Amino acid sequence: MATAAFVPDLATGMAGGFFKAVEPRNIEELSADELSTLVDASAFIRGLFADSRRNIEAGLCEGVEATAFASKYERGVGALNLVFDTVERIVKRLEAMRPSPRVDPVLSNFKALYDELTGLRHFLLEALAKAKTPPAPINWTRIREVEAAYSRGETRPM
Amino acid sequence: MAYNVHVSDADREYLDALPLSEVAKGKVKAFIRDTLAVVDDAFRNDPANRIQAGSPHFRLQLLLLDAWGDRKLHLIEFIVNDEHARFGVLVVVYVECK
Repeated sequence: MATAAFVPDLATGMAGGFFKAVEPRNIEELSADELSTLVDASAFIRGLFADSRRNIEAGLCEGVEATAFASKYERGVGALNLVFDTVERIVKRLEAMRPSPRVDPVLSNFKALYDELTGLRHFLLEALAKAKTPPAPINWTRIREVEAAYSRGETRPM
Repeated sequence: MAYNVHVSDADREYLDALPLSEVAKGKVKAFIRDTLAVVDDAFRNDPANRIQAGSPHFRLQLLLLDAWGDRKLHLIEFIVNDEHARFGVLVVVYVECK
């Protein structure tokens, strides 16, 4: 049974709350302290997504059962897409405000977050596609040969 | 209880010749020992994992990132005969790397 993907769930959950607070605001009207908090928070969220990718990669390097991996991460892709779309909208809004010395550091951080999400999404979709590769046609001749070899005592325990 | 997982010489040779790093090949063997050999009844008997209704075979697939070799994802499919499972034996009858 697949367990919840804790780090990716944490990242998408926190990002969802963060963007809910950020997106409706007029960023140009934020105070210097608020802008600084916004930069720090987006960097923190980016770190969570970077951790998510490392976490998933580490699991795959050990090897995972493919169907369990697919069921564990498929729903995560939907949540990730929502985050990705929101960041994309915010980046576009920030780009429209340029040049602005107040907005540029925020834009730079959001672009870095956008790049992190792009890489994570690409990696995850590739892994899911691999995990869900349709099975090849069964080679029954080969299977019967191995079963006959087992019956003759010609196979060995691993 | 862990099953005795039988593998034919041909499939051992196939596994040894996989285009994977030595570390990744070790992960494949670890998967056989730590996942396939202790597969639970629920997984084996799930119709989604049986290759054909009524046949004594189930499918188990390893998804592996070879970080020590080509940095690519590999899917290794095992088809396993479990008609001797009650005697503690599983027989790998087909292996394929995709």
